[in-house]
Amino acid sequence: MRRHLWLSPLLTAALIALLLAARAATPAFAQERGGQAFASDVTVSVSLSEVSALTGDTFTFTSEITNSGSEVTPPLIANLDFVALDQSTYIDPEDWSPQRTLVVDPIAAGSSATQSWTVKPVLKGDVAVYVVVLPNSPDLTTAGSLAASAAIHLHVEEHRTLNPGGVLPVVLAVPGVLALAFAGLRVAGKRR
Amino acid sequence: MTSLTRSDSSLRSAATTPANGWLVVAQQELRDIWLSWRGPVIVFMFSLLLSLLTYLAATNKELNIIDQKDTINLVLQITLGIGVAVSLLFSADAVSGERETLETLLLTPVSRRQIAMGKLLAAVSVWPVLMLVAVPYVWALRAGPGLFANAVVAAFVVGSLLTAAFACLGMIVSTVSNSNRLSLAVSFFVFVVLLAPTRVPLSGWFGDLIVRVNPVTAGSRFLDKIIVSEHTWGQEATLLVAPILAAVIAAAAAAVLTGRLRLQGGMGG
Repeated sequence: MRRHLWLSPLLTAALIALLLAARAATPAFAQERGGQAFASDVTVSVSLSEVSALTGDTFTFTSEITNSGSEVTPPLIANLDFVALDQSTYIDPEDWSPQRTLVVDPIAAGSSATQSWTVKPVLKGDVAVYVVVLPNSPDLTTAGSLAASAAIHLHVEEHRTLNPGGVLPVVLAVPGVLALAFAGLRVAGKRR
Repeated sequence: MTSLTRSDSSLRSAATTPANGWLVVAQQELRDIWLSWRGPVIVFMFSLLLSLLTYLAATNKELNIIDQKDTINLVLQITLGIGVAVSLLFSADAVSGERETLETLLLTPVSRRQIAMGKLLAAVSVWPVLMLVAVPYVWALRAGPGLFANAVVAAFVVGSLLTAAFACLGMIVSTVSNSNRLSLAVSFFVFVVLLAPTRVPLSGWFGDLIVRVNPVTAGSRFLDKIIVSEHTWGQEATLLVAPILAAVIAAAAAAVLTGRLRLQGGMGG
């Protein structure tokens, strides 16, 4: 065994060379599948940076996807996401926005596309709202294929009202009217 | 012992039985329900329940995110359930609950079937009143005028069919029961057994079969489809078959069996 010890440095050098060659080959592989190139060429920006709202309010903002590369992008999917910053607010995204996913047509080199998003905060708390863009293709497993916008800091205060949705008059009037009507009916019945 | 032949009996019946005897019985029963505490208290409590539900639906953070259509559906399903249950209990109590005073009524020149019909009409009178009380709440929660009208009409149709079916069932059970307790227990048990599948997720061909055969699940599913899914009546017309059949069969059975109403329970000859 000791006779072949001199081979160790050679084997180590060969292994390192192999690893370096593989690493150098990765960008080309990823580029073929639209991975690294997608992430670096596509950027997403949003029209707002901070929003204060009450529960039940509705606000809209736009996102802009820009292709700064030299080739047209594949078809894209833009998704609206929410993350609770205070760890205590439970967020069910479907309740916060009626439409959270949009399919974006391929964007030509140097061009951009704008999307409009509607958000309705339903619980109080601090929430990060952001848009993620990914290629609408089977290559979703490629690392680095997502582009995300900066987050909008959404601060939500609870909206309290004594007359939610204008239902208070009905809620009070119906039992009241019934009580009066039945009392009148009973009195009339006794008089007979 | 005097006995009448069939033709004598028919003559006597035609000569002495007033045609509107059922109306007289119904008026008396309606007075008993609506001028006593029974009807008014039930309707008032029902309005308080709907007030609470409506206010919570509009304010509660979790419920607030339920679609308005779901809230309207919930209000109408509760109305339907309570309306059918109360009518069933009133009719189940109609004969068996009055065994002590039934003798006097049976001595009047009113046929047994007319007595039963008058009591049945009074028992089902709760349903339209509850439906009327529910209308302002549905209006307050409405998502649009089209949905409001469609939802109210659908609930009224389904509720009327189910109320008729269950009130007739209650009357039949009450007619044959000696004990009021037995009559109420049996009627309510049948109602709960048929109501339970509406709270169970049913799937597959067997689940679909149960939904369509059971008049309560069929009626409930019909309301779901019309109010929440906004389907047309034509699309879901098959779901009305079970409630219609239940109403017709129960009414026919009640017409036959209540004609044999006796002072004691059981079936007369």
